[in-house]
Amino acid sequence: MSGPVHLQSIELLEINRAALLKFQEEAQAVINSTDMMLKRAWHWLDSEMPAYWNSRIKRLEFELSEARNALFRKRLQAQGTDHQAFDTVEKLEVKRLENELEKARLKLDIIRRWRTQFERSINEFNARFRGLRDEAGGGIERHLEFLKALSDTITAYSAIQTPTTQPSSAEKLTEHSHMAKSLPEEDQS
Amino acid sequence: MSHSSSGRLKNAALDLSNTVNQTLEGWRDSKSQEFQRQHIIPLLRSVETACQAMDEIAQVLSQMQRECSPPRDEMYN
Repeated sequence: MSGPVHLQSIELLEINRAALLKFQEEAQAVINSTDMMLKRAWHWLDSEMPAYWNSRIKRLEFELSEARNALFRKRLQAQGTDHQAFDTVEKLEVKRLENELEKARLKLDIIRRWRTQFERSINEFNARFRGLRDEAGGGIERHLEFLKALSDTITAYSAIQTPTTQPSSAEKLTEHSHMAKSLPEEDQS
Repeated sequence: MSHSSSGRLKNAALDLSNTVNQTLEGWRDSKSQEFQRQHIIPLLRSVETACQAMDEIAQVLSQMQRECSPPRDEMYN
């Protein structure tokens, strides 16, 4: 590759370098918080929710057993009498607890299905997130090396052009600007 | 996952893109094109893909929370 370099100031490369480093910091923070969040979500699904629903099922099973006993006692009390047992409240309570228990058991099935689904979703997510991980890691380093190599080349050329004097910053900019029009690009092929 | 994570990433990419575009006003040669083409554009594409993935998994998490949580329970709080 050849052709003139049109770079107004070497500082522009430094500005890009700083912008890349700032992006890297932000991207890494997002990656870290995302990883942590997914880890917590997996723990929630794999441990916390099954524990919660298993505990609820045990409690409901106990309450249902108590409610059935209460219903049985009520019916027992009515035996040997002329009237039918007034057990509406007990029957409703048994029915309510049976429904709650069924819902809780269903939740465990749903959680089991979600484990498979969420694992697949995380794998798909990681596949699509890999590009960002690569960029925030080695990718940024590669971009910075590109800028540094360019900056070093220009600086070295500048030193050759003005070996005896120590120019001011303003002069440096002028030099770079002037050099920008004349420095041939290095071959990248 | 909150949408703020992908928003933060998008903002970081936007800042980078704006800075690079501004500097390219004063840097116009084949090296600047190479920098843009081989370094910045792939990076921004990776951000775009990552943000889409983050938004999608946020929806998955939201649905998972709705279906698996106890009533009125809040996940991750």
